[in-house]
Amino acid sequence: MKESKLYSDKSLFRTGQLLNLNPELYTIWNFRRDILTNFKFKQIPDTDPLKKTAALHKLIISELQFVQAKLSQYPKCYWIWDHRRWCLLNDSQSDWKHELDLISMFFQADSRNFHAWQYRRFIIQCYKDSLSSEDARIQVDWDEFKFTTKMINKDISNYSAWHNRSKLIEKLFIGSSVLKDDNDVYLQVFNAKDKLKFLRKELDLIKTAFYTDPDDSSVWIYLKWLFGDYYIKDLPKNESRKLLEDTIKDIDELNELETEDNGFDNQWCLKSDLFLLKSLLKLLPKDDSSESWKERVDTICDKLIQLDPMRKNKYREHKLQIATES
Amino acid sequence: MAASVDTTLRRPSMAERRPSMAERRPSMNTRRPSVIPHLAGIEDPVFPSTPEDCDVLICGTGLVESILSAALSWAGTNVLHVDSNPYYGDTTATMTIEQIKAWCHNVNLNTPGFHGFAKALMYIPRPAKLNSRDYSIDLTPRLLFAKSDLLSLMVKSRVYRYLEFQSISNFHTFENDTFGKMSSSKEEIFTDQSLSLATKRSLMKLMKFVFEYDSEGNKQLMAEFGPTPFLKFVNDKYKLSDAQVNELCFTLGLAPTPDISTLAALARIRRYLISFNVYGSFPALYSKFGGPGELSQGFCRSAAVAGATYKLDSPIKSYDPSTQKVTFRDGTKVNVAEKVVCSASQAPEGAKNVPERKHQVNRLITIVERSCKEWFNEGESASVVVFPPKSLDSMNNYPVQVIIMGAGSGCCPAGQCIWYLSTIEKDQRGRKDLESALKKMEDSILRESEDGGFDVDLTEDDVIVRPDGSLSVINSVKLGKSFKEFAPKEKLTYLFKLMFTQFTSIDPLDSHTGAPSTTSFDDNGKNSIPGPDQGILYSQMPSTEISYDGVLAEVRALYTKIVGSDDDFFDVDFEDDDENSSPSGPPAGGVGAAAGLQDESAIIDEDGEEFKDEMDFEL
Repeated sequence: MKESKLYSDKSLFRTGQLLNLNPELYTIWNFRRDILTNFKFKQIPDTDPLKKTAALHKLIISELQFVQAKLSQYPKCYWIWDHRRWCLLNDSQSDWKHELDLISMFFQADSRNFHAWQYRRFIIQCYKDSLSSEDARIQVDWDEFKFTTKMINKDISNYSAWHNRSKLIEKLFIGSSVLKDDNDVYLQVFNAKDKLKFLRKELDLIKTAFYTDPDDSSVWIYLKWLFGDYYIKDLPKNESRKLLEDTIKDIDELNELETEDNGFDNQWCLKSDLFLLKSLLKLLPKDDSSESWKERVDTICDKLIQLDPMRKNKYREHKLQIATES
Repeated sequence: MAASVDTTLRRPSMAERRPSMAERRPSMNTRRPSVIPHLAGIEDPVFPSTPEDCDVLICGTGLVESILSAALSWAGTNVLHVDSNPYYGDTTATMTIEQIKAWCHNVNLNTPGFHGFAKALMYIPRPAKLNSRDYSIDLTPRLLFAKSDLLSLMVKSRVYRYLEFQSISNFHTFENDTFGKMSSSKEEIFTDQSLSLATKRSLMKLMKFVFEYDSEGNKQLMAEFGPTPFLKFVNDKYKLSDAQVNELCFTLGLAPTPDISTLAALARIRRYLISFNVYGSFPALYSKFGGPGELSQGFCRSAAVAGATYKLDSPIKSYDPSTQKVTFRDGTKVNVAEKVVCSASQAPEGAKNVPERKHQVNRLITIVERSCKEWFNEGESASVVVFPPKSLDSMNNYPVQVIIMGAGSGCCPAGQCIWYLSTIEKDQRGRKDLESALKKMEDSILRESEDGGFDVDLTEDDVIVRPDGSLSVINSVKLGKSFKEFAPKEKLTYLFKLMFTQFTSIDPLDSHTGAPSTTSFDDNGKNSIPGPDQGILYSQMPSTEISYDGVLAEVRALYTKIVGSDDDFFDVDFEDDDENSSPSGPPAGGVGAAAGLQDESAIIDEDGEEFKDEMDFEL
């Protein structure tokens, strides 16, 4: 039918039937869109532009209802989310707030559904585009940032929330300072563009998180992002150094507790230490003061070779690098 | 003269009984009358005489016996279910004030039908203020954990439809003159600013261990420490304060004694944690209008649907295992083809084989003229308070457990509240602990009550700053601490106070699993002593546990004794009549819990009501 371009109500009905059976058939979703564009949309009389948008809106709404029913059944199917996006983009009267409500319902069922998070970013972007003032757009980002805090508090293992947070932080630092809320420390640092102060504050949160659950990968991965180039290259060298040293100390304290209880080191602690130490070494002058840090790297690598034999060659390579540098 | 008092008290007029479940929730709206027979016959038997034959005769309509009756009836057994009292519930009854007055009298006279209870002491200072039928007082109040065998059975057997459930999320621990509530979820631990980082870590570790203690990797550890005392185990392995350990063990775990083993305590704490978020952010439920008394009525009703015959006010006199005939006190006789099961409380006069009841629970039930809403979570009308060992002036050795039921539970009028205190401490000592706990509760409610005209202004200290910088007000219960000095200006008004001792064969240490003690089931009368009850199978009296856990295990054990195995226990396909007809809406005041039971997949959102029909997640 697709090849013969048989666009009719009957084919539309058939695609619906097929998708009810299996929503993973992306060809059918494509065909459905073909039918809608080439047949259903064209059926709308062209006479009155106002009437036309209204009729199109109505058509899209009914299609959205179908999509929603499918999503509820299969909340993790790429093509359905895709189709929903397509529908909204084809309608000039899309209701973004309504979509956000829908997303929060999906979060109630599964707050870590990354499809829903991805979709949320898309909706937020659309919503921001529909706003005329820059202030309003920044406000949206700020609200989203607060939303990630809420979701992280609910479940620190929500990697999608941490990820979204990192994306928003970048936006909030770029945006012009216009938001007012005297009580909120985060907002103050965003307004002042004070990356250092932000990092200090964020590290407090992270510290609480990794103490709450030392085996949670999402927290450690976020930590890695915090100490990525985004911040480090903007901060004065001595400040970066101090931050790194402090954080390494915190992680070491946690690892001591972990080792005491479990009888062996916590791998996440060691791996994060290794990552931070490497950044630290880059900042240090090549003199004797770096030697003790290098020894630390060496011991950590030895421990990791034991604990994580799958990646032993990676750690050997680290050891070699450190050795050749000195 | 004593005899005449006896009969008038034993037979309260029908106007005196509580509104029955059938009156409250008529089944006719939602079901075809052909499926559920008219209930007038159950409430007030119209049978001209008792049937002459049955397979199993059950005496006593307590919860255990009622579930057993339903299980046997649905398996096709011809059950005759009788009770020596004119009301349902036996040892687990839910009663009006007048009924409980009569009950006290009978307990103190040691009347057959009331065995297993002793030394009932009652005090009603203002009888005119109490309208008897406005109250539903449980002899053995219990909570239903959201993830428990009994709840699953009620859903499967559809008995839950006869009942209304409400959530209970406040589990407080009394410590240093205040009621504290612990951070027990990952979210709470993460955001709680009062915990140090090391404590957060320790708490989370213990919580994780609670879920994993029976895994393969922990086998060796549990083999070594499982039977050892839990309190020592936790103190050695985790760096937690005594207050936190108390909360975990006695409040979340509802452990009845500090001697509890590591294995039992972990099982109990896990019960709480896995029940959380099953139907919402609360761990347990209770049935409206009364607890086990309501449930037993529900199961009796289910048994009646399956064909069981009911007869109240029919005490048995004797059983002859050779002729398999039971003689009732009024002289009628019944042939019992299989087995006679009897509640220990209703043993015939001169009984020789009643299982030994060496364990005790002391109970104190009061009705106070306060709403006590300060102690409830928003939208709820009940809470639990536990006084850990050594927290009372009486230096209690065992915890005192309290269930608080407000007017919203349908058990008392507005502006009043029922407090159920209990402890496994024995005799005078136990009663002293209960009085001591009652005093603390009185002080606390007077201090915190808004009814007392004390207006509380929030200051900055009463607000928590969350990690994200936002503010939230501390649970009002915690305000107790800052008003410790506030001297009560007025005394609390008690409307009702009842203290009594109950005996049971179930060891408090086993009460959550209900492992039947070996002495209480005599095999087919082989070991039983000649007497009017030779060959009778006894149930063990309600356990000391304040949850329903263990009840079903006892029923299964009895069922196995009668049938041979419990393979077909409630093995009935109830997916019958109204598969597609929607229930008549969530019951009023269900606080989401009832709605969750009706349709577990419905997701209700403030803004998203309109999506309800489409949303159908596989959760």
